[in-house]
Amino acid sequence: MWKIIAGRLLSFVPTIIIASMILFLAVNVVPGSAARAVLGIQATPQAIKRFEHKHGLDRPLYIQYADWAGKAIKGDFGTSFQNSVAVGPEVAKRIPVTILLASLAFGIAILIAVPLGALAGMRHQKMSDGTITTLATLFGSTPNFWLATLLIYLFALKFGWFPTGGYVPFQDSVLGSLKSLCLPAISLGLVSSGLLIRIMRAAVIETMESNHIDTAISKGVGPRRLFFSHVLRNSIIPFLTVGAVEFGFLVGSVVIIEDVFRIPGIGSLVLVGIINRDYPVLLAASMAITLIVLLVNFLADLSAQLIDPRQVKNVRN
Amino acid sequence: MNKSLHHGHPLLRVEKLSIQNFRSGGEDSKILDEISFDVFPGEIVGLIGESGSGKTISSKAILRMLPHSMKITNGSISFKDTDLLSLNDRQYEKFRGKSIALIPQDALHALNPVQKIGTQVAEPFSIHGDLTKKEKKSKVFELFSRVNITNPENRYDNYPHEFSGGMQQRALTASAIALKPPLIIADEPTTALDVTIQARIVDLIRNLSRELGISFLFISHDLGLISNLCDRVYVMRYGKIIESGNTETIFKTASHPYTLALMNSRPKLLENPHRLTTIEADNGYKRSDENGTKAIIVDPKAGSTNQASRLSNKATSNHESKVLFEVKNLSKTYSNNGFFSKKNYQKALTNVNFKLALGENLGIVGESGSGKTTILRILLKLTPYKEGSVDFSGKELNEIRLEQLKDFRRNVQPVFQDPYSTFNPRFSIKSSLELACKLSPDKNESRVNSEVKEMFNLVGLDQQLLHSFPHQLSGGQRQRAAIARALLCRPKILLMDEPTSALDVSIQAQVLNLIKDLQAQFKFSIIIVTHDLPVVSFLCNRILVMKDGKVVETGETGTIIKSPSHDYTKNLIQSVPI
Amino acid sequence: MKRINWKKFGLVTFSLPLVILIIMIASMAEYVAPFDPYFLDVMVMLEGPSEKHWMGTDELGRDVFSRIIFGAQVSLQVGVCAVLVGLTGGVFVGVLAAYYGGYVDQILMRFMDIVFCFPAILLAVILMANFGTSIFNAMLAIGIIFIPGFARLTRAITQTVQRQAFLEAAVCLGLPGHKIIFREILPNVLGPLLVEATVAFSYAVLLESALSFLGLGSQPPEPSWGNMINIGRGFIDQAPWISLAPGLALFFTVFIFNLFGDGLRDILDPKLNE
Repeated sequence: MWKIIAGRLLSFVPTIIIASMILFLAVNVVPGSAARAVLGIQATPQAIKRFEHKHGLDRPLYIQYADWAGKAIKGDFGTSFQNSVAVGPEVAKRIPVTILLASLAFGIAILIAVPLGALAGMRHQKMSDGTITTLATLFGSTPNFWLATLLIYLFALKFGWFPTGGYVPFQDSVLGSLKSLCLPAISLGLVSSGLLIRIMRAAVIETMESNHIDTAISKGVGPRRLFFSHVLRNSIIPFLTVGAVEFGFLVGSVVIIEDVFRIPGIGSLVLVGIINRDYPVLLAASMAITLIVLLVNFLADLSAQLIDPRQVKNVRN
Repeated sequence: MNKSLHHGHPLLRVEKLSIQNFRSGGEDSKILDEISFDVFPGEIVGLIGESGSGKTISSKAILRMLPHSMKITNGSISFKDTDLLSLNDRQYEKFRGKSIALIPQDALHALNPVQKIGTQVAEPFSIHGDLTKKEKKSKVFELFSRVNITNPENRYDNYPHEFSGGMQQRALTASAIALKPPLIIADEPTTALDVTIQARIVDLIRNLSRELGISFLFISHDLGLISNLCDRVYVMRYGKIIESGNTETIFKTASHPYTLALMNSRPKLLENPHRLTTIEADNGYKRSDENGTKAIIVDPKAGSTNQASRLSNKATSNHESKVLFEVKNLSKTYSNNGFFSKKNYQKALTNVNFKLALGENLGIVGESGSGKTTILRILLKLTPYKEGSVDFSGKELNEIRLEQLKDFRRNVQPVFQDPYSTFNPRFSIKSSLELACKLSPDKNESRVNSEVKEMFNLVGLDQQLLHSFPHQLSGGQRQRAAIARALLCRPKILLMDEPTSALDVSIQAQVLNLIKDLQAQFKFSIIIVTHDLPVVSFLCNRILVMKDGKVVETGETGTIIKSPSHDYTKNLIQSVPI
Repeated sequence: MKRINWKKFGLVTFSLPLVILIIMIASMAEYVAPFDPYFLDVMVMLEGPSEKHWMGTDELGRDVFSRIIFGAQVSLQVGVCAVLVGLTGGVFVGVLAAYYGGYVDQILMRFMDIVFCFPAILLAVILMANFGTSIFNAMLAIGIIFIPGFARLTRAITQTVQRQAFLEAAVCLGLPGHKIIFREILPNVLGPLLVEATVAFSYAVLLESALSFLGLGSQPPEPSWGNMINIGRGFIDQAPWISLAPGLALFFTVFIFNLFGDGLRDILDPKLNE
């Protein structure tokens, strides 16, 4: 088993490195914008030149990257262009918030998707299947920022059950924390559940069409045992792998939702970095998000491989 | 084993059973038309028929596992004294596995891939009884030994992919006999398995029936298997039972033309007729999916029928003994290339040698994994080779390029195994056939149309099918069209990979006859790769036997089959039913 | 001859008219919209839905309904162009990778896999920050993000096709490489690609709105659903329709196009052709 983990880790590391390079490239595609953003439109060419030299922006890209990467590994993510505050600690402070939000949202999504998807799959081509599939499309088509606005209007302004925004730290008040994350989590989770319902449904349908289901039925297996021992177990594996990809979409969407609800997570930090062209901040925050997504995908693939006995065999040999 | 007497009460009685398929948005069709058959205690009954005969549906009906769109419209099914149709679903669950069990088709996919074998074999005990884990496990060990699965301790914890095809089938058999049900339905339990394994499974079933007194309903399309195993036989066609009786009696005195044709349409190991008996398409026994197929007429222009009937399995001296293919010391190793995985080497071929001259027909026989398909693909220049040499008409295959390549392609044409993927689904058959003409020696644009029409006719297909799309043709029709495509450029040799394995027995005979007739007319050689020895005996004068990538034996077909020297060849020959 | 299963045309029959309706309204915005989307009428600021203004007016007195219709134009334009960019790049890479195989395939697909891992919104946001905020750049950025997805799909289907006998038969008939790609491979790739393109279109519309919402797409006073929702937020308790109406239009459009994509999938699914 350790062989599999080690093997996977081996291909994971280069992935992170290449991802960081791509990010670095994406951020630095257009030169000069950082200086102008910080100094203002009126900045003189000399001021810009001085700024760039001060921050090392006039060096060739690969040297900039090497420099950044070298420091980043040690945990030093530079200081913000705007206010010269160290970026690293700020990112570290915000990561748990985003993870909490994302986990809550994903939890809601799974809670909706697994039962509905399984139901649709088991009742394939009957009325309930069509209804659930349409519902899934409905959920998946919802723009999360609009849903957020709608939820704020109804449940925060009109009914007053939830705050319109802001975040109560977990340490201060668990209930308050959950309350402040509730609407954001629903905005994210409901939309994600759309795709997840489809994935679960597809997995269940494929399992139901397998020959081994017929074999089980011929032994006298009843519907309950069939579902739990045969269908569910077999469907979870594909669900995991594809579900992890959806988690990636969800984490990306925190950039918008954290902004709408004024939640101090990494998502809103990315936006701050963009608006101010604050490269160190942008890079660090983007890197953090990407890392979370890559990590989740890595864990999901790993679990799938470990659970699926067919994969274990290949390494045993 | 001759149990022709009916011992009183039948175990299973199916009476005037009719099943209809109600398709929303399509026509309803009758699947079974008042079928009646019995199974008595202790006997093995065979249901034989081709695809579409309704034999598998009958078994599904007995277990109440019909697809949703099919409903029983008439008749009754009773087991011992219980009317099965009156039971509700809950009661039926108690019935399955305990009173009637199933050994399913397609052993390779019938087991749950993520559950241990032991758990799956033990499942009947988990459903129908109250045993402890230990007790269940020991029962499973017992079952393993009955079905000859050795090393039970380890095998219990294995997963299906760690079992070979034959062992998976044994595991399925084990779980079927677990509760010692009075009746077991074996639904084509040997398809997808190699010939030698098939024979062993059949032996197993026979032994189990004797030892445990279990009755079997054995469903198959393979006459040979049925005649070996079953006491009584029912012959089915288009949802009706055409003939029934003791196995011996049926095979000696079959009266219905269909049964006769079924028996005689299979090629034999030795002493084959010049043409196989077939159910000619326009004899009133036309299959519903063979619309547009006509009986084959030997082209009078090509020479008299005399010449055709004189075409024996010997190379005629009229032809020069020009060597077409010469293969020397051919080896092929596959390695999986990946950046991040360890390289895995698999030797597919080791030191293969043979020659094929013009006018000769070679049959390459072997089971799965023997490398026979690899040889064909290399000869077709579809798979590259590095070790050894392959010559076509004196030129090394690896050195043939450009213009010579065009010549090569024109002279060496394939017929593939799977008729369902052999044509591009987006284009009409005509369009796909016209492609072949681009290769032919005289590239005359105006003649393309007539050439295609003529060839289509010659393979026994109706002109109207030319404009159809592949999915509108049956498997047999598509295979004929594939042969037409291959012959349009007048190749010197046809390389065929199991060309008839995917077809029903009666269609197989037609296509085999077709190949022979076309050979008489166009004078091409063939290399045919197959696991089916009798086919080789029918078509080829030379044979090459392969096992695990090596040539085991080679020589004249008749000689080898009459007196094989290698053990493996002997084994293969013995495994052929009948 | 096999029968046709008419049931599979259900979704398409239902959604196609709506799809056409949306496209027509968007392309003929100038004729359909009752008001000029930029026309300010300070007398009727923040008025609720009425007979004259079906969806009320916004904070500058502009007719919301008309702005929504013109916003459709923006969204659909970006959607189409983004999908075209993604398709061109993706199909090219995908066919290349599958056709040549070996190292070419491994390198290309590794790269695509990694880019695929990035959350689309993150990439979109970063790219827009770089390119500059405009509709054209949004098309480009979103299109680039789509390339890995299309590449993966094209490659997978091409590989399936390559395993079919008819492809090998074509090789044995001496068909040259380009003919094999254009006659044997591409026509069989088109179906699933079309389905994917429809879904990608919906997603492009969503992404464009998200970008405008964040202020990184089309800028006000240009009417775009995203920035209408964003600005409307400031007036959410006085005049919720400014946010909610364009959002509804967005939701509806994406939903209908997704249904259409589902419908296409039903038609093209080989299993349903039995």
